[in-house]
Amino acid sequence: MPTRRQETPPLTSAAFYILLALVDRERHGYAIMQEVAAASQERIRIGPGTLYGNLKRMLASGLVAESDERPDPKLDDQRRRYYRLTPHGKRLLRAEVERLSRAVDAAKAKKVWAAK
Amino acid sequence: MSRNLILQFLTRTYGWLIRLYPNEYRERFGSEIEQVFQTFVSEAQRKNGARAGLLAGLRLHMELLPNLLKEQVTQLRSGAMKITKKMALSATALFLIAAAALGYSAYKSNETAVTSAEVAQYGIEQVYSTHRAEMTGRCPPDHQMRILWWYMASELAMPSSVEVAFASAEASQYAPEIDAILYEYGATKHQATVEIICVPVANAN
Repeated sequence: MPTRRQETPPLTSAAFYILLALVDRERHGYAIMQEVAAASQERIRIGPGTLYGNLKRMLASGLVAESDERPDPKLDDQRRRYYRLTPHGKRLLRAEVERLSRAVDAAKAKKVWAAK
Repeated sequence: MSRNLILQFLTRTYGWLIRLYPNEYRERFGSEIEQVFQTFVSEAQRKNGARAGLLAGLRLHMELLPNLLKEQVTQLRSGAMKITKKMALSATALFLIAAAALGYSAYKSNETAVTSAEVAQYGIEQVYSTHRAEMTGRCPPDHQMRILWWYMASELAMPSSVEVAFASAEASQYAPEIDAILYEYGATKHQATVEIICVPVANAN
Protein backbone atom coordinates (compact mmCIF):
# COMPACT_ATOMS: atom_id res chain seq x y z
CA MET A 1 0.00 0.00 0.00
CA PRO A 2 1.52 3.31 -0.99
CA THR A 3 2.20 5.63 1.90
CA ARG A 4 0.68 9.08 1.80
CA ARG A 5 3.36 11.67 1.42
CA GLN A 6 3.66 14.09 4.29
CA GLU A 7 2.66 17.60 3.28
CA THR A 8 5.51 19.37 4.99
CA PRO A 9 8.76 18.10 6.45
CA PRO A 10 9.33 18.55 10.19
CA LEU A 11 10.38 22.08 11.06
CA THR A 12 13.85 22.77 12.36
CA SER A 13 14.03 23.88 15.97
CA ALA A 14 14.89 27.42 14.90
CA ALA A 15 11.98 27.62 12.45
CA PHE A 16 9.58 26.18 15.03
CA TYR A 17 10.55 28.68 17.70
CA ILE A 18 10.51 31.60 15.25
CA LEU A 19 6.94 30.75 14.27
CA LEU A 20 6.06 30.25 17.91
CA ALA A 21 7.49 33.68 18.75
CA LEU A 22 5.06 35.28 16.31
CA VAL A 23 1.89 33.51 17.51
CA ASP A 24 0.75 36.14 19.98
CA ARG A 25 1.94 39.32 18.25
CA GLU A 26 4.12 40.73 15.55
CA ARG A 27 7.74 41.28 16.43
CA HIS A 28 10.91 42.71 14.95
CA GLY A 29 14.10 40.66 14.48
CA TYR A 30 15.74 41.34 17.81
CA ALA A 31 12.48 40.71 19.69
CA ILE A 32 12.10 37.37 17.86
CA MET A 33 15.61 36.38 18.95
CA GLN A 34 14.78 37.27 22.55
CA GLU A 35 11.48 35.39 22.44
CA VAL A 36 13.10 32.28 20.93
CA ALA A 37 15.65 32.24 23.76
CA ALA A 38 12.93 32.75 26.39
CA ALA A 39 10.50 30.15 24.96
CA SER A 40 13.24 27.54 24.72
CA GLN A 41 14.45 28.35 28.23
CA GLU A 42 17.71 29.66 26.76
CA ARG A 43 18.42 26.30 25.12
CA ILE A 44 18.09 27.69 21.63
CA ARG A 45 19.76 30.95 20.80
CA ILE A 46 19.66 32.09 17.25
CA GLY A 47 21.74 34.85 15.76
CA PRO A 48 20.83 37.30 13.00
CA GLY A 49 22.23 35.00 10.29
CA THR A 50 19.98 32.09 11.25
CA LEU A 51 17.03 34.36 11.98
CA TYR A 52 17.00 36.19 8.65
CA GLY A 53 17.86 33.06 6.67
CA ASN A 54 14.72 31.49 8.14
CA LEU A 55 12.63 34.63 7.72
CA LYS A 56 13.61 34.83 4.08
CA ARG A 57 12.35 31.29 3.44
CA MET A 58 9.25 31.84 5.58
CA LEU A 59 8.39 35.02 3.69
CA ALA A 60 8.88 33.21 0.39
CA SER A 61 6.61 30.34 1.43
CA GLY A 62 3.99 32.63 2.97
CA LEU A 63 4.37 31.44 6.56
CA VAL A 64 5.12 34.94 7.81
CA ALA A 65 4.48 38.35 6.36
CA GLU A 66 6.08 41.70 6.93
CA SER A 67 3.89 44.14 8.75
CA ASP A 68 2.88 47.17 6.72
CA GLU A 69 3.37 49.49 9.65
CA ARG A 70 6.74 51.11 10.06
CA PRO A 71 8.15 52.01 13.48
CA ASP A 72 7.89 55.56 14.63
CA PRO A 73 11.34 57.05 13.94
CA LYS A 74 11.17 58.94 17.25
CA LEU A 75 10.49 55.79 19.27
CA ASP A 76 12.13 53.02 17.32
CA ASP A 77 14.97 52.28 14.89
CA GLN A 78 13.78 52.88 11.35
CA ARG A 79 15.74 49.87 10.11
CA ARG A 80 13.48 47.56 12.08
CA ARG A 81 10.84 45.56 10.26
CA TYR A 82 8.02 43.78 12.03
CA TYR A 83 6.87 40.30 11.10
CA ARG A 84 3.60 38.50 11.74
CA LEU A 85 2.36 34.96 11.37
CA THR A 86 0.04 34.30 8.43
CA PRO A 87 -2.95 31.87 8.59
CA HIS A 88 -0.84 29.43 6.57
CA GLY A 89 1.97 29.79 9.10
CA LYS A 90 -0.47 29.14 11.94
CA ARG A 91 -1.77 25.98 10.25
CA LEU A 92 1.76 24.73 9.72
CA LEU A 93 2.74 25.47 13.30
CA ARG A 94 -0.39 23.69 14.58
CA ALA A 95 0.42 20.67 12.41
CA GLU A 96 3.98 20.64 13.74
CA VAL A 97 2.76 20.85 17.34
CA GLU A 98 0.41 17.92 16.68
CA ARG A 99 3.26 15.94 15.11
CA LEU A 100 5.50 16.62 18.10
CA SER A 101 2.64 15.77 20.45
CA ARG A 102 2.11 12.41 18.71
CA ALA A 103 5.86 11.77 18.95
CA VAL A 104 5.78 12.50 22.68
CA ASP A 105 2.72 10.23 23.10
CA ALA A 106 4.54 7.44 21.27
CA ALA A 107 7.55 7.93 23.51
CA LYS A 108 5.33 7.88 26.58
CA ALA A 109 3.63 4.68 25.40
CA LYS A 110 7.04 3.05 25.18
CA LYS A 111 7.88 4.38 28.62
CA VAL A 112 11.02 6.03 27.36
CA TRP A 113 11.36 7.92 30.64
CA ALA A 114 11.45 4.73 32.57
CA ALA A 115 13.84 2.99 30.18
CA LYS A 116 17.52 2.84 31.15
CA MET B 1 43.37 49.09 21.94
CA SER B 2 40.38 49.73 24.24
CA ARG B 3 37.40 47.41 24.37
CA ASN B 4 35.18 50.07 22.82
CA LEU B 5 37.52 50.32 19.91
CA ILE B 6 37.42 46.54 19.56
CA LEU B 7 33.63 46.67 19.58
CA GLN B 8 33.66 49.37 16.91
CA PHE B 9 36.06 47.25 14.91
CA LEU B 10 33.78 44.20 15.30
CA THR B 11 30.78 46.24 14.19
CA ARG B 12 32.72 47.32 11.14
CA THR B 13 33.89 43.79 10.30
CA TYR B 14 30.34 42.54 10.76
CA GLY B 15 29.24 45.16 8.25
CA TRP B 16 31.89 43.87 5.83
CA LEU B 17 30.60 40.33 6.27
CA ILE B 18 27.06 41.50 5.52
CA ARG B 19 28.35 42.97 2.27
CA LEU B 20 29.39 39.46 1.23
CA TYR B 21 25.76 38.36 1.13
CA PRO B 22 24.13 38.12 -2.31
CA ASN B 23 22.90 41.52 -3.48
CA GLU B 24 19.21 40.75 -3.29
CA TYR B 25 19.48 39.32 0.21
CA ARG B 26 21.67 42.16 1.43
CA GLU B 27 19.36 44.82 0.06
CA ARG B 28 16.38 43.18 1.72
CA PHE B 29 17.84 42.18 5.10
CA GLY B 30 21.29 43.81 5.38
CA SER B 31 20.31 46.85 7.40
CA GLU B 32 18.08 44.77 9.70
CA ILE B 33 20.86 42.25 10.36
CA GLU B 34 23.24 45.09 11.14
CA GLN B 35 20.69 46.70 13.43
CA VAL B 36 20.09 43.45 15.32
CA PHE B 37 23.85 42.95 15.71
CA GLN B 38 24.32 46.42 17.13
CA THR B 39 21.39 46.02 19.51
CA PHE B 40 22.53 42.59 20.64
CA VAL B 41 26.12 43.66 21.31
CA SER B 42 25.17 46.92 23.04
CA GLU B 43 22.62 45.08 25.22
CA ALA B 44 25.21 42.48 26.20
CA GLN B 45 27.68 45.26 26.98
CA ARG B 46 25.13 47.23 28.99
CA LYS B 47 24.09 44.22 31.08
CA ASN B 48 27.41 42.42 31.57
CA GLY B 49 30.16 44.81 30.58
CA ALA B 50 32.42 45.39 27.60
CA ARG B 51 33.93 41.91 27.73
CA ALA B 52 30.46 40.34 27.34
CA GLY B 53 29.76 42.68 24.45
CA LEU B 54 33.01 41.68 22.81
CA LEU B 55 32.25 37.97 23.22
CA ALA B 56 28.70 38.45 21.93
CA GLY B 57 30.06 40.29 18.89
CA LEU B 58 32.55 37.51 18.18
CA ARG B 59 29.86 34.87 18.60
CA LEU B 60 27.60 36.62 16.13
CA HIS B 61 30.47 36.79 13.64
CA MET B 62 30.89 33.04 13.91
CA GLU B 63 27.14 32.56 13.62
CA LEU B 64 26.90 34.67 10.48
CA LEU B 65 29.57 32.83 8.47
CA PRO B 66 27.79 29.50 7.82
CA ASN B 67 24.56 31.34 7.00
CA LEU B 68 26.45 33.61 4.66
CA LEU B 69 27.90 30.60 2.87
CA LYS B 70 24.46 28.98 2.75
CA GLU B 71 22.94 32.04 1.10
CA GLN B 72 25.79 32.24 -1.40
CA VAL B 73 25.32 28.57 -2.31
CA THR B 74 21.57 29.13 -2.64
CA GLN B 75 22.26 32.12 -4.86
CA LEU B 76 24.74 30.11 -6.95
CA ARG B 77 22.21 27.32 -7.36
CA SER B 78 19.57 29.83 -8.32
CA GLY B 79 22.06 31.45 -10.69
CA ALA B 80 22.90 28.06 -12.13
CA MET B 81 19.21 27.49 -12.70
CA LYS B 82 18.98 30.85 -14.39
CA ILE B 83 22.03 30.02 -16.48
CA THR B 84 20.48 26.67 -17.33
CA LYS B 85 17.29 28.45 -18.33
CA LYS B 86 19.30 30.93 -20.38
CA MET B 87 21.21 28.07 -21.97
CA ALA B 88 17.96 26.29 -22.74
CA LEU B 89 16.57 29.46 -24.29
CA SER B 90 19.80 30.01 -26.24
CA ALA B 91 19.79 26.39 -27.38
CA THR B 92 16.17 26.76 -28.46
CA ALA B 93 17.01 29.97 -30.30
CA LEU B 94 20.02 28.31 -31.93
CA PHE B 95 17.89 25.31 -32.82
CA LEU B 96 15.28 27.58 -34.40
CA ILE B 97 17.97 29.48 -36.29
CA ALA B 98 19.55 26.20 -37.42
CA ALA B 99 16.13 24.88 -38.42
CA ALA B 100 15.44 28.10 -40.30
CA ALA B 101 18.86 27.86 -41.98
CA LEU B 102 18.23 24.24 -42.89
CA GLY B 103 14.80 25.16 -44.17
CA TYR B 104 16.29 27.97 -46.22
CA SER B 105 19.00 25.62 -47.43
CA ALA B 106 16.38 23.05 -48.38
CA TYR B 107 14.43 25.83 -50.10
CA LYS B 108 17.57 26.83 -51.98
CA SER B 109 18.21 23.16 -52.81
CA ASN B 110 14.74 22.97 -54.21
CA GLU B 111 15.51 26.10 -56.15
CA THR B 112 18.64 24.41 -57.50
CA ALA B 113 16.60 21.32 -58.17
CA VAL B 114 14.19 23.43 -60.18
CA THR B 115 17.14 24.80 -62.09
CA SER B 116 18.42 21.28 -62.63
CA ALA B 117 14.98 20.30 -63.85
CA GLU B 118 15.10 23.16 -66.31
CA VAL B 119 18.59 22.10 -67.23
CA ALA B 120 17.38 18.54 -67.68
CA GLN B 121 15.04 19.74 -70.36
CA TYR B 122 18.09 20.53 -72.37
CA GLY B 123 19.64 17.18 -71.66
CA ILE B 124 22.39 18.44 -69.43
CA GLU B 125 24.04 15.56 -67.73
CA GLN B 126 26.26 17.18 -65.15
CA VAL B 127 26.21 20.37 -63.24
CA TYR B 128 29.11 21.50 -61.16
CA SER B 129 29.14 24.46 -58.86
CA THR B 130 32.56 25.42 -57.80
CA HIS B 131 34.98 28.21 -57.30
CA ARG B 132 37.23 29.20 -60.10
CA ALA B 133 40.30 27.94 -58.26
CA GLU B 134 38.82 24.45 -57.98
CA MET B 135 37.36 24.33 -61.45
CA THR B 136 38.36 20.93 -62.70
CA GLY B 137 35.04 19.70 -64.02
CA ARG B 138 34.85 17.67 -67.14
CA CYS B 139 31.89 17.25 -69.44
CA PRO B 140 31.05 14.02 -71.22
CA PRO B 141 32.05 13.68 -74.89
CA ASP B 142 29.96 15.69 -77.40
CA HIS B 143 29.01 18.20 -74.77
CA GLN B 144 29.67 21.85 -74.53
CA MET B 145 30.63 23.36 -71.28
CA ARG B 146 28.86 26.50 -70.22
CA ILE B 147 30.05 28.57 -67.38
CA LEU B 148 27.76 30.85 -65.50
CA TRP B 149 30.01 33.08 -63.60
CA TRP B 150 29.04 35.33 -60.70
CA TYR B 151 31.58 37.89 -59.92
CA MET B 152 32.00 40.89 -57.74
CA ALA B 153 33.77 43.91 -59.10
CA SER B 154 34.57 44.91 -55.55
CA GLU B 155 33.90 43.55 -52.11
CA LEU B 156 30.98 45.90 -51.61
CA ALA B 157 29.37 45.39 -54.99
CA MET B 158 26.40 43.12 -55.57
CA PRO B 159 27.25 39.99 -57.55
CA SER B 160 26.79 40.23 -61.30
CA SER B 161 26.70 37.33 -63.67
CA VAL B 162 28.19 36.60 -67.02
CA GLU B 163 27.50 33.47 -68.98
CA VAL B 164 30.39 32.16 -70.98
CA ALA B 165 30.02 29.25 -73.32
CA PHE B 166 32.96 27.16 -74.29
CA ALA B 167 33.25 24.76 -77.14
CA SER B 168 35.12 22.15 -75.25
CA ALA B 169 34.10 19.71 -72.61
CA GLU B 170 37.03 20.37 -70.34
CA ALA B 171 36.95 23.40 -68.17
CA SER B 172 40.54 23.44 -67.08
CA GLN B 173 41.85 24.26 -70.56
CA TYR B 174 39.85 27.50 -70.54
CA ALA B 175 41.32 28.79 -67.39
CA PRO B 176 43.35 31.52 -69.17
CA GLU B 177 40.18 32.92 -70.70
CA ILE B 178 38.46 32.98 -67.36
CA ASP B 179 41.46 34.71 -65.92
CA ALA B 180 41.18 37.30 -68.67
CA ILE B 181 37.52 37.92 -67.84
CA LEU B 182 38.36 38.20 -64.17
CA TYR B 183 41.02 40.74 -65.02
CA GLU B 184 38.70 42.67 -67.27
CA TYR B 185 36.04 43.03 -64.63
CA GLY B 186 38.55 43.74 -61.94
CA ALA B 187 37.50 40.86 -59.77
CA THR B 188 39.82 38.50 -58.04
CA LYS B 189 39.60 34.80 -58.61
CA HIS B 190 38.34 34.05 -55.15
CA GLN B 191 35.52 36.54 -55.41
CA ALA B 192 34.01 34.72 -58.35
CA THR B 193 31.70 31.74 -58.15
CA VAL B 194 31.39 29.64 -61.24
CA GLU B 195 28.69 27.21 -62.18
CA ILE B 196 29.68 24.80 -64.84
CA ILE B 197 27.01 23.13 -66.84
CA CYS B 198 27.46 20.60 -69.56
CA VAL B 199 25.11 20.91 -72.46
CA PRO B 200 24.92 18.30 -75.21
CA VAL B 201 26.19 19.85 -78.40
CA ALA B 202 22.84 19.12 -80.07
CA ASN B 203 21.08 21.43 -77.56
CA ALA B 204 23.83 24.01 -77.26
CA ASN B 205 22.24 26.52 -79.57
